[in-house]
Amino acid sequence: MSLAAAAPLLAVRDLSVKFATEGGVVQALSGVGFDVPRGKVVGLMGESGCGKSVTALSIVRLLPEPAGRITSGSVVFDGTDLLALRERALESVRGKQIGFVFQDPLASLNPVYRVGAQIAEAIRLHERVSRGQAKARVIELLRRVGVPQPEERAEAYPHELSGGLRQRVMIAIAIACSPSLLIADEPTSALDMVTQRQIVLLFHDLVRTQGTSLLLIAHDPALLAELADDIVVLYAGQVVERGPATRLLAEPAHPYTQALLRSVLPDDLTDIRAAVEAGGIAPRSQLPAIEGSPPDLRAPPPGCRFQPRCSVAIARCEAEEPPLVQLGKGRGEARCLLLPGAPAAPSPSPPRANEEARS
Amino acid sequence: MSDRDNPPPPDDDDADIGTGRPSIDQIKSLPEIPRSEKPPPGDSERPPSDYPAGLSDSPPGRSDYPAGRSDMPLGRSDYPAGRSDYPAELSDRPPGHSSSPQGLSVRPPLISDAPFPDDDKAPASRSKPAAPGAVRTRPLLVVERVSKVFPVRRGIFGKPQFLHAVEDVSFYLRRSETLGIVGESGSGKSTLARALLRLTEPTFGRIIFDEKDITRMSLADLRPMRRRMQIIFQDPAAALNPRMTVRECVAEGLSIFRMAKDDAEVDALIEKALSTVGLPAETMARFPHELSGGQKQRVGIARALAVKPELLVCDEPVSALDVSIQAQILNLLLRLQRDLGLSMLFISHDLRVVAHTSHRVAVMFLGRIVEMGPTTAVCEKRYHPYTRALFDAVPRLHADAKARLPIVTDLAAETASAVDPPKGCVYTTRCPRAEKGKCDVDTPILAEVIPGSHHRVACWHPEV
Repeated sequence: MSLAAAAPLLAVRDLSVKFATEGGVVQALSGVGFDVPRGKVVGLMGESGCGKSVTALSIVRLLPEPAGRITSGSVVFDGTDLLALRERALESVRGKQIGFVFQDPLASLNPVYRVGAQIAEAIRLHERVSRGQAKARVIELLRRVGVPQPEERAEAYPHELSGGLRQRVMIAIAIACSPSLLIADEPTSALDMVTQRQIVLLFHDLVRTQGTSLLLIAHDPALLAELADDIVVLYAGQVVERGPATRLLAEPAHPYTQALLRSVLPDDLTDIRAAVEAGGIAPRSQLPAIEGSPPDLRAPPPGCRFQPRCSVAIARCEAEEPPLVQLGKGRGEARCLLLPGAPAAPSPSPPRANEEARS
Repeated sequence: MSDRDNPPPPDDDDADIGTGRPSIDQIKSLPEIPRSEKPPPGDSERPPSDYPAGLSDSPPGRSDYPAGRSDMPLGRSDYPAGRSDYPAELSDRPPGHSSSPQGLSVRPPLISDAPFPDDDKAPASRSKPAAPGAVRTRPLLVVERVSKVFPVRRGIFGKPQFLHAVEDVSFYLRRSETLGIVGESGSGKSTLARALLRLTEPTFGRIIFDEKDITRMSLADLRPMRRRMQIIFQDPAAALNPRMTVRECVAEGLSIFRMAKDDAEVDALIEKALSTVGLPAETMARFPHELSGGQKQRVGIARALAVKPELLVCDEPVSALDVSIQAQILNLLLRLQRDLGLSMLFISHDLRVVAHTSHRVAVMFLGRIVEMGPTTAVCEKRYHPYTRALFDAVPRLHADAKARLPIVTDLAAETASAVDPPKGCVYTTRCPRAEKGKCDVDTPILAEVIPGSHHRVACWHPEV
């Protein structure tokens, strides 16, 4: 696997997850695999419902049971398969070696406890420290994540803090025991742009100075572009593309990655005058959105899962499930039949150029 | 632009809208706010009559602001008794009428040309004879020095304090125009939107919708106006009643405003509204939980459109949505405006969204507009340090974005509170260019940097 360093901190292999729902069995993940190298940032990218959060929860076995079930695969963290671990042993990994940051800090923090006490709880759960020591650590942690006046803020309740400060408290809890891996699930989606920027810089600093590995989940490719070393693109519970961030962003191979990157709002706002003049009434012309929505995973579409929304799909895409194809030196892999290197069509093969493009 | 008319009518330029109203404390402590020695750039060319004494600096009526009361009457103290020359309703005047020199300097320019007025073109002066059809091109919405102050109290015996959610905000919105309001959370964007629709009562100021002052309108009179101004919310899941089908959600507005004779007509109107937002008619029978986030937001838009509004307030309409769905919804809103000629107020914390959708942008910080102008102008040249900070916060989708990310060692969160906002400029505490003794004393007024550019900034030291 191209992403793999010598010994990745986290290696997810062939992870499959099913959910039993009233409407049938949802195949949430189908054979997801990727690595998180030590000290690196790996971004999980994709739309809602593509399996990003399920992947994150599966790694530490926090799926809602019994509805959610890991049906196959392995999650090797620092040499140990977490999926084979007993619950008690896993508890010492969660929080201590793997820290979690969720999207909505207000839902994750306990509203009736002061935030300082909640950070102290995270420390005392895993380490034998006195109350006084814990308190000192709390102040130090709050200072580390950039909370101004940490002594006062430690005494605050979650509702008394702004969204940005709450998210900092969440990060303080996550890094309380100096975990080697941090999993952040949409950590900035509930925040405004200025605060988002501050959190991005904070993560950047944590990774740089502490050597923490980060698995970052985000739907905004621009956010991943700023932080990730490697990017894994998920679609409908499958990895459709993965590779080094710089190459993947510069030359996205999979039609889904390409479409996703195109639908991002233009960030170069200085050339907007030209766009206005070109666009007529609207300041900008229409964005190239991906029409439709991700498939219902109770009955995924046949063949390639993206083909119903794909603008370049051919008839073969509906018949064959594409494998991950190597993209060449220094690049990653992508799951598309139209790529060079994809398995040849079974004969008789209609030439691609003659195919009617369905959009 | 003010040099054109001689003598220029004081309300020739809506730049005066945001004249620096001093904070409550200043009014209380100072009998008269001294004008600063150095006017902001661009103001030097403005004739002094643009600032009628005692109006732009310190409205006399304002001194009766009750510091400890929460039942401050609406706009009562905003317009002093001596201002009887100002008509209660703009429509009392023939269009294009030039007001007396004592007239309030808050009326927006009348646009009589270009169905889609561009700020870059000089608007027709109001002192010129009214062009035919000028009434139609009057601004749909005029907001005059609106403030919203919430009383807050720390503990039962705590000293009452005031949260200045919106402070002295003025602007206008033309027909078929989109004004984007951008700012971080807590800057008062949503409170402003709610105050404009009178979903929360503004503490001061006036709101004029289609030449009618709706600020003090009774709820009975307001009801027919409400049909004409609709709002869509950030979280479509929270905005739709989970126990109502899509049909019931959309039909509510139609029945409140009695827009259909019978059920068949209701169905036809709903079907039309749904198809306008790209939803099939079958959606009618669905419940919100059966829909995706993007579809729910489409239902929210359909519900707003069903009653045929003229003004659509979009309060963070795409912030809760995926990037790919964001693009779909923004495309839809852009198309709707083009096809239906809607006026839109577009509120977002995301500068990318506002720049994409809006003809003009207003940047808010701590309840005040600190910069406002045509989107093109603001994007090209940011004068206010806060606007700069907003631009810098936009994540860049570049392959080398990571390499370009600055290494910042001072990670302290920037905080600012609308309770007891800083004296002088609201941005002083965070501003790298703040000048002691100036910026933390005098409140800068929103004024044009280059006369006639319609690009205004409230800053003593704009980055030129």
